Amino acid sequence: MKKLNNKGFILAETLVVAVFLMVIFGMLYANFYPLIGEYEKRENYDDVDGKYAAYWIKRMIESDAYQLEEGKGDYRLLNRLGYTRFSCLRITDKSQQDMCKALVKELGVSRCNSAGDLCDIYITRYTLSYGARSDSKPTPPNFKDQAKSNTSTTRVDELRQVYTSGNDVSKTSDSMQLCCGYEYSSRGYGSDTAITCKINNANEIQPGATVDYQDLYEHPVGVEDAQKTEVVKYCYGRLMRKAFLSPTKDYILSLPNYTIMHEATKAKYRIIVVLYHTRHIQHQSDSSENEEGYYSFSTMEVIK
Amino acid sequence: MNTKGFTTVEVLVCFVIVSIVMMTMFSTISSFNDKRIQESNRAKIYEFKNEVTNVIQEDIVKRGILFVNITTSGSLVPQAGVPIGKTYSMDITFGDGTQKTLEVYQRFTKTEYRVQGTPDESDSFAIYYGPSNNMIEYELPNLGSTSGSYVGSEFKAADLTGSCDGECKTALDLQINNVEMYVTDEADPEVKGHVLVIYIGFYHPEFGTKYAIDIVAPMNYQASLVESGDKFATNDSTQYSNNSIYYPDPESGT
Repeated sequence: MKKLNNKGFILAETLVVAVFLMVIFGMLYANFYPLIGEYEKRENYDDVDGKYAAYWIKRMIESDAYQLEEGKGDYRLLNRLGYTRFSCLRITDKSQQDMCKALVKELGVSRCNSAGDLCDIYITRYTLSYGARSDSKPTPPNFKDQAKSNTSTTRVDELRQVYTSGNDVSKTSDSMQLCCGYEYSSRGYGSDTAITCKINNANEIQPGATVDYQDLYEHPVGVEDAQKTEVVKYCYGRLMRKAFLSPTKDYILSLPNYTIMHEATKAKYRIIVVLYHTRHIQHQSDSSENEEGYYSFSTMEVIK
Repeated sequence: MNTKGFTTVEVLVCFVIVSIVMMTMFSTISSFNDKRIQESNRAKIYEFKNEVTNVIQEDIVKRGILFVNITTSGSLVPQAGVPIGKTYSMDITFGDGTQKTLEVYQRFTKTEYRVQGTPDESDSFAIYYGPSNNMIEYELPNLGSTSGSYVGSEFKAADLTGSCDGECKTALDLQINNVEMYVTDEADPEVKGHVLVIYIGFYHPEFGTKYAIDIVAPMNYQASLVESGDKFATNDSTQYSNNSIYYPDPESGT
């Protein structure tokens, strides 16, 4: 009789080992591959150009000409929202204001309009975990939570809110519907940023029509003079809230909380600066490259 | 009969299986190797760019810019018997009275590759910065190029600019693709210019024009860190509130 060979593996054993190894390698791959994307994303976090851009913005905020005072406009937004936005219009000195506009334009600060306003430069408390969590009664809200819950997923932000005649903007009405919209230019800075206002009554404007923000402030369409301040306040308030682009949110959430304040400097504030780089696109030697711009992010403490 | 060992068929089957696995792994490993080289090149570009940016920006931060004088010479248009190239020069006068010069050379010649040392016509792409009698060369990193072919035993890089009819020396290294140096609002008689921009754009076949030295800094900026007695021009301190838009708090109305 032929002698049985007991060496080797049976088919079932081989299959079990093979499946086990495949699962192990699959798990390793699934955990490893996203890290490559994370690494590529962080290439533009706190780079040298961004740090110097933040430095010059910091110097402007720290100068006496920049208005950031307790009890006034932006400071109240800082308390209520947990952040406010840098604006060249806050600089009282004309020549410094003009310099500010030129600086934010040449730096390529994201989403600035031609007046150096509504830029993607956020002024918040030094400690990013300052404030209550959004699930309780926040005063002020936690900045990171604000970034998480106020992120726009597209480049065109449309904030559709309902406005009523009179001063009470919370009630609905059939007579008038106001849409506050803010279109960002595809390059992040340019002249085509505006508020699109659509009124759902006899004064309806076609979709896509744009109204200059300054003009809207002076002559809001379909709104009586007595109500125009309310319209602007309401739209601006909503605009300030829906502030963060998704890449900006990712950067903000990646930052530490900076809970330990430097005793020497006692910095009270922190700025987050978002730049959108496009200068390299116009210098492409090959027009078929069709490169997109790219964002870079940086943060710096501010002493004021 | 000897029953130990493998049959021929078993050996051939094993050989085929191992070959298939190795071919599959080779493409994966090769792509990782290319990625490694690309990341290494990227790191070198960043290191160089950061070094130059830090040197210039630190001077601007510590001393402040009083005024600059920008000149360019040369041409990138091919001319018979003339090296193709441009020189960009910026003389910077700082707030403490010191002066430094930034020079950027963009040259295409028929001679040997870049000669290290003092600047001369053989240099292809070079950046110099420092006091005019003691400038330091910031040597562009050698990243190599995949564009080109061997002519005999010599590697001839591709004519990436397309302007030299095959006779130019196109560096194997990183190229300086475009240079911009300017001051905004310089012509305005009321200001001495607002913002200085220095843009030195690079080109590399793998990265295109993405990377550049991009320095933007305010001119004549009277900042709190400056010690008293500095030679800054004074800014117009007239209050200018008419064009400021005050955005009231949307919820409290004040």
